[in-house]
Amino acid sequence: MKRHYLGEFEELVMLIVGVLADKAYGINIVEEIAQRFDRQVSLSAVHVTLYRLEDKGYLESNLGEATPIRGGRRRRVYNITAVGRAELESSQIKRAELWQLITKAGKS
Amino acid sequence: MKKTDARILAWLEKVCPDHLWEPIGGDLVEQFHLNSERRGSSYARWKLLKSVVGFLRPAVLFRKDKYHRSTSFNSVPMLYNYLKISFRNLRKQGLFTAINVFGLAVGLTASILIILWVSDELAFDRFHQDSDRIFQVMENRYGSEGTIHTAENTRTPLLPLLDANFSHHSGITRVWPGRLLLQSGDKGFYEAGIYADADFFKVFSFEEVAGVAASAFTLNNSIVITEEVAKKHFGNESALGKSISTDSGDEFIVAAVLSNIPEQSSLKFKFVIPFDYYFQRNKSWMGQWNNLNVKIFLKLNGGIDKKDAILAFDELSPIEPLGDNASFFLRPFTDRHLYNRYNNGVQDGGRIEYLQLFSFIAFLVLLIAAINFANLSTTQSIKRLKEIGVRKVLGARRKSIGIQFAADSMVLAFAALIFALVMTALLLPAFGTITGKSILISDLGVQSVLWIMLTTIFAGALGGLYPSVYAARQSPLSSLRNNENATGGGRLRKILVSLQYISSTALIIGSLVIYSQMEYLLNEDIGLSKDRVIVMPLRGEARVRTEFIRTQLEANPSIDAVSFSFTSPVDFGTATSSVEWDNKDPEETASFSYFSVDYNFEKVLGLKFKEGRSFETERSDDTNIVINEAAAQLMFPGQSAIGKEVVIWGRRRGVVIGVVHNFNFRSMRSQIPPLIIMLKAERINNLIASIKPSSGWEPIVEELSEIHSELGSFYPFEYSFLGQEWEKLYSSEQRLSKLFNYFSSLAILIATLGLFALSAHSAQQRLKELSIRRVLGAKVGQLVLMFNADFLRVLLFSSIVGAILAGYFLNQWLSGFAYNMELTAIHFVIPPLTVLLLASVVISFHALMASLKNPASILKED
Repeated sequence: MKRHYLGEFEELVMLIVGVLADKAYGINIVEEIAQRFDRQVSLSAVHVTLYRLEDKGYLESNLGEATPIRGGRRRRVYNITAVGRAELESSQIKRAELWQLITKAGKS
Repeated sequence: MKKTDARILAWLEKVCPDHLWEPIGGDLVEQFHLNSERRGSSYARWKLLKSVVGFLRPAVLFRKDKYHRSTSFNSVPMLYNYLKISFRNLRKQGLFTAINVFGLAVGLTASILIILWVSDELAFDRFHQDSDRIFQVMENRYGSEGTIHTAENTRTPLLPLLDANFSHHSGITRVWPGRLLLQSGDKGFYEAGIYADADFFKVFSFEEVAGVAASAFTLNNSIVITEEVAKKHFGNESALGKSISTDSGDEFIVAAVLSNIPEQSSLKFKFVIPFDYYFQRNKSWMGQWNNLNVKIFLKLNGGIDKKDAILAFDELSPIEPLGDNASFFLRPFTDRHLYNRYNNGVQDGGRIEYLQLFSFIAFLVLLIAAINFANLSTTQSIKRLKEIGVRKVLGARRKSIGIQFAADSMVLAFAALIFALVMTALLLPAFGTITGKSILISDLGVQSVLWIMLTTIFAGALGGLYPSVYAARQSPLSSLRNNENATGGGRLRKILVSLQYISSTALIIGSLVIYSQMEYLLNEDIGLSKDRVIVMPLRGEARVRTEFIRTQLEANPSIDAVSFSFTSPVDFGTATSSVEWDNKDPEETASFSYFSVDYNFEKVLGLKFKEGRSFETERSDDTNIVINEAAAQLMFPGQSAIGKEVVIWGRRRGVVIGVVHNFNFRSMRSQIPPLIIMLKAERINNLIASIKPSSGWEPIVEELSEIHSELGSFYPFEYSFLGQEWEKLYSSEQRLSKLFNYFSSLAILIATLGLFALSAHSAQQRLKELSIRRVLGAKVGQLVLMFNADFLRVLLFSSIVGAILAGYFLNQWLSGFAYNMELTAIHFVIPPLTVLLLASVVISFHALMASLKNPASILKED
């Protein structure tokens, strides 16, 4: 399979999905990013990113329950797949390695 | 959330793909609520608008549905289910299905036949090598009143002159027709052939079977024959080098054998003899500039652009001996068959108009059939609304229902196509006899096949359009309720039906008028009694024993009168402009048809004299002439022509002794030309005799046969009837008229089938309404009337529009004839009335069937 690389925003969204566990859906992700990073992202950008990550196989989704606040519409809840998790981890490891190199260089 | 916000959301819902909408809409509403709690409702609205605009991106709008891929998991059983339900439906609606498929198949068959015919016509004369570089020399003759007459018959001495002054050709030839008795050994057959120059085979490329045609005419006694002639004379032996003699006793050596001349050749012949052979024997008249006879063809050489060559050719005129009286131009040879009519020097259509007409009919018939198909498929699918509802409730998506119905209709359309191809193959032989062509279904070109496929797909798509788009969009609730009002499409169907009826009314009026015009031309009193005249060609000894023949025949009680003539009395091509009379306008170049006869011709042909008398044996009338009214009008306007002196060919000086009423001796497409009748001016070729009105043909044919054998002639015994020859002039029109009749009957058949099914459907839809009306006291008659009124309003309107359209086109068509029948109200009233009546019968039938049902059994269901 072709290997996909994660963009910055994609990685951010994936991490947030991981953090929110079973409550990761569109507007919730936007709110979470706003709270944690003080960063305003548009709802549509998040949706499109979610689609793309789903296409790549890093996320999977299911229709959740409907609530009155949503006008009776169901939410689409996202979860990280095994592949997605592996990708995040490998990205994390690569970064850690790079950080180590940077700190070593700083010390010497 | 206020109305405005809801409206913004509803708008996005329209453009957003279904499978994405629910979470998006939910998120937007949730976001709106969060925002309005934090910063108030106007801020929330502003944010909502911004978000909505944000979603208008390709990644959202054009995203494919990936959440329902699971359906492919059971697609095979699903397809099987589709098929099963389809077949059940088709069987349940057996009659409708049959009408539907049959109607489209008939329409397709008709258009395939027309396409075959049209492409055959278009391919005429194109089998020659570089057929686009072959041209015919045409002549424009200028009359004294500024009229221009265009003709393909031109002058023999023109060829050497063109050959010397026009260098851009690689071959130029004259062609002159001849009918000769070809004999070899004890066999003899009459054949129609041509005299042509040696270049004939450089200009045209007729296929050779044996010998080399191009070098065949190095000797003046060569003959080129077709395979058919070779077979008749020499069987399976090689014909090359064999000798063939003609009636004149000259011997020719077969220099080449051509394969039989293709049907798609406008030049038709069984043999070719060097032109010079004929010319040497007929120099006296053929060599003159003012006699019109041969046709001239040439091929441009490869080095020159066609346009330049045509310009160079135009500069050759005026030509010395003719001055301003005539000019010459090049016409593409491939135009000869289809663009053969000229009006005052301008190309003015011709046979091509019939091709256009028939292509248009093919289109109309196909349109009617396709509309029919669409209408019937639509009504059928409305009956399946419940099925759609159930499918939707069980989770079918709009798309899959759409595909199901579209495929259904496509399959039916292709079934019709297969049916149509079979019908075409079966009908082709019969079609061949009507059109006088032998066309095979394999003659269909790639283009035609594509066109037919496209039409089928179009009809299929049209039929599937309504159910797959509209019905599939219905909410399951309304489709389950089977609410007819919710299905709509009623107005569309009415428009389609009226389109059908406009076309069929126009077609019926058209075929009626074309048919009556043909009848008119054939039966109109043409001024001579063609139906009682028999014509027998005289040959050899018979030609000098005319007095013997006359006495023999006149003794027969059933024979009315006997005479002799140079040509057959109809459609003779002999004409001359070498006619002089006192006070002739020096500018006048009119050409006179002339007809050479023996005594008593007027009795045989039943001609009536306006003034003067006919030729009489007791007087010396040898060089005197009889003219027709048109000639009298032209030469001596406003005065009596009797006793006036006229000089023909500069040597025949005579006096006008009689003027006959105009009679038609040519196709009635043209006006009657001026005519001069001379006494025995040329050799006698034909016996013409008329029978007494009370008598049949047998005694006279028997008598002729006896005379024939008495003269001991070895020539075949041949005769013809003048009436038949007259009809031959119209054979192509008659054929077309017949074809037209067939195709318009097809159109009305299809349209009526459609109406039959539609009214049945409508009756079924309104069953409850009719029942309630009956319960409330309506009579059956009233219900039938009410039902009729509904349909007839539409049909009446269509008929009027159709009649107006037909009237416009027919007027134009009729103006192409010099003699035409009058268009009367009857032509425009009878066909629409017939259509309306037919439609009314069909509608009443269904209305009656529906009204007669027991209201209780229908209404009890609710």
